[in-house]
Amino acid sequence: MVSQIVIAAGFVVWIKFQLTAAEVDFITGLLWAYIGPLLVIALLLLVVWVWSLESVFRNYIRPVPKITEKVNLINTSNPAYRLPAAGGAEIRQLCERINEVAQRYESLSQNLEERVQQARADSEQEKNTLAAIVTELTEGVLICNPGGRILLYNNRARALLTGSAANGEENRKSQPGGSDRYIGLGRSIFGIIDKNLLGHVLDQITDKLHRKDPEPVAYFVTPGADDRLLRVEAIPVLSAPGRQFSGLILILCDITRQLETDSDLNLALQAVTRGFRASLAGVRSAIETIIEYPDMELSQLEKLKAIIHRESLSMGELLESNLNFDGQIGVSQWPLATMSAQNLTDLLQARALEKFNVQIETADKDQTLWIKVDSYSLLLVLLFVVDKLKTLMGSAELTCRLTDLDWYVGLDLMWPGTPMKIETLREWEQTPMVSEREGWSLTLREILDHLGSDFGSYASQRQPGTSYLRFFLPVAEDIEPRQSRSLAILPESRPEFYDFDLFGHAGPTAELSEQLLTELTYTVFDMETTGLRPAEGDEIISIGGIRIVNCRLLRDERFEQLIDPLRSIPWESVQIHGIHSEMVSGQPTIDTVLPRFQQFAEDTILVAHNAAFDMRFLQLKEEKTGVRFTNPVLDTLLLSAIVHPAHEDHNLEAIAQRLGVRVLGRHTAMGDAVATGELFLKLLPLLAEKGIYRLQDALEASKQTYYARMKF
Amino acid sequence: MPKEIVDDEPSIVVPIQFLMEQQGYDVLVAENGEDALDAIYKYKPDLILLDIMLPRIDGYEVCEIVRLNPEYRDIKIIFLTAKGREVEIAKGLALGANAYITKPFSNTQLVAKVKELLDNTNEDSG
Repeated sequence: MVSQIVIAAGFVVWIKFQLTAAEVDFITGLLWAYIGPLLVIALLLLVVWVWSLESVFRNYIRPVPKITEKVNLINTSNPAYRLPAAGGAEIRQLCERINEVAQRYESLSQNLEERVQQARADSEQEKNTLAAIVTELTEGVLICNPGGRILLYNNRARALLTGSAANGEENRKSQPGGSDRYIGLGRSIFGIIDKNLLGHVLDQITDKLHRKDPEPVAYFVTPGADDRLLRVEAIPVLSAPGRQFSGLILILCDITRQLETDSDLNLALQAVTRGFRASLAGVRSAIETIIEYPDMELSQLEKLKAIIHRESLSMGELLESNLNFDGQIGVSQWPLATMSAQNLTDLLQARALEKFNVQIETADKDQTLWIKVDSYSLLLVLLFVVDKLKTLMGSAELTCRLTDLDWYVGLDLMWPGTPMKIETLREWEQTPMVSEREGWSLTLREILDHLGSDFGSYASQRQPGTSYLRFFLPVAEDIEPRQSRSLAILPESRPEFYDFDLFGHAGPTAELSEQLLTELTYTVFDMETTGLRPAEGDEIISIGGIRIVNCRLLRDERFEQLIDPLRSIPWESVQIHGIHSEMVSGQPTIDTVLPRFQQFAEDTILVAHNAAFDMRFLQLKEEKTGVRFTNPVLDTLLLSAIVHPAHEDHNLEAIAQRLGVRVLGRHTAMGDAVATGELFLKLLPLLAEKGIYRLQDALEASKQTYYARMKF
Repeated sequence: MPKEIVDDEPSIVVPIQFLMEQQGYDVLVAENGEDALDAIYKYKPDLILLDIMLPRIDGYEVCEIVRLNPEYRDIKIIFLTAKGREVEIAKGLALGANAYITKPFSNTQLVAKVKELLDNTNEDSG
């Protein structure tokens, strides 16, 4: 359009130069005469021009930013949105194409979402099964990553290492003077097992790996909780490519009892040896004197005789009192299990039929006799004997009977005929029994000795013409209830004993502030106090804390303790938190509890609601308890203010309502801690939207909010 | 009415023989299983003090053979042995011995037991 005007103007100017003055005048006069209609035409032309411009604008230009916005909408919040076809034909087409793309995008994401859900559900299922299994193992199992962070543990490991079934029991027996041991996900194993010892063990394993030892396993002994002694087997976890050391499995076994038995034995032997030396010396000296001096005085002779008599009695006593282990000497590390004798005979019956086609009839089935044996080796012996009997007697039928012999249960294998000759039994005793499964070979005699058992051949008094082979099986002294196992119901929420995501984590390093908020470990806590004035004598009466590891609130790793404030609790505060003086009297005092809490919160970021209040209390207790908290602190009050600056109420209930968190146990330390923890987790993604990803960012932003200016 | 001592250790035989003779009993001594069985066959003693750990035929066998023979049903058998484990005691008694005394023992205890068992016999037969 513009170029046309320019050309026209140029044309006019050119004409002006071409025409004479009269002609110019003439044309000008003409123009002026018709100026009216000319203007109208010009105006009309203008209108047409503007209108067509506007039409183009409306159909092709204006829809574009709308399309941009709408596409943005599809991209960010509403993938189901479709562009209405509006505007010029080309624009319409563009919209249609865009809609097609949107459709494809939507269905793809749905598909993906479904697949991810499915995979996650499967994985959860497997993890739950694993968790159920690991939780109920009788050995303690613990896995840590190369940095010493605990990734997995089960109940037994916790009990063996820290002496409690659940962390945070209020009536836990704390080690006198020492610090409590804590076991939990993400915690350092060095808090429980000596660092040098583990270092040495790792060296051993690394060395074995270098030497391509087929069993790169190391053993060590370490003290456990409650004065136990634990034997630990350390097995390396190697990541597939390159066999890199990526973790360590520790299997824990309680050997206290074993050691006690061994040391008892040693002591007994020592006592006997010493005693015997002494007594024997007396006897020998006395008798040698008597021999050498046959004519000694009578009174002297009497004395010496008395000595000999006394010392020999004393030697007898030594034997009686010290070595009355009887069946237990020589039963070395053979694991004996309590089982019902009937159970054993049933097993024998089944195996005899299966292996040798020998029918064993069992008489008197309903007996409640319990024996303590190793069923595997005992069955080897019994089956051997059954086979021999079959060959010798030529009959494939035996009767088996159980007899109660007070300290023994007699397992009798009966057959019609005469008893075995003792020579035959001797021969059998010397026969080696081979365990293919475990690769040992012991004679029958050795096995019986190990079991504290014996056997003999007898003629039946009650049924003449029948003989039997009787095995004396030691009775179980007390039927130990099997270590009580809780039913392994697959829990809906995964029992939080492991977190394999921590495999890669080295743990908090110096660059803590650089770490992502989602990767850090937190201790969320809350305290109840006698009042709001820490500087004016108010005291802490309750602390509740709970850990967050890898963005999960670990409900099993909690710290809960009432504290005796050594002062009265004012009525107004009792109204709020419901803690009476009676509830706290007799509870440990702050100087016992704070060090424990510090240990619980070691190496974590502290999180609390209105943390300034709590930290002030803790600060004022520094001198008294010697406990100084150097952990970074995040305040959910400030974090909420960052995220929702337009709102004014940032108390716990208000934020909870905004973020959809249910608060149970309000105004109890534990309840508030849990609620704060859940709030914190909900705040994290909202903080991310504001560009706050790392600890440093959060700390900075917190400082700047309005509320930070309030001070206690 | 002879009594028999079967033990291969003279340190036991001598004092016990003396002891029993002092009680007025006739005493036979055998040092191993075969001699013991010979003597039993020949003399049919009232009571046998039987050690277990004998060469060749051990005390268990002797006891067993004696018990198997209905003729010898009235012979009292006392095991006198160093084998003191419970299972061994149970085994011995199950063989039909009348008593089981473990070494070391007290003389009085031994004599008392012998008397007790022999008195019973006397009552039975008397």
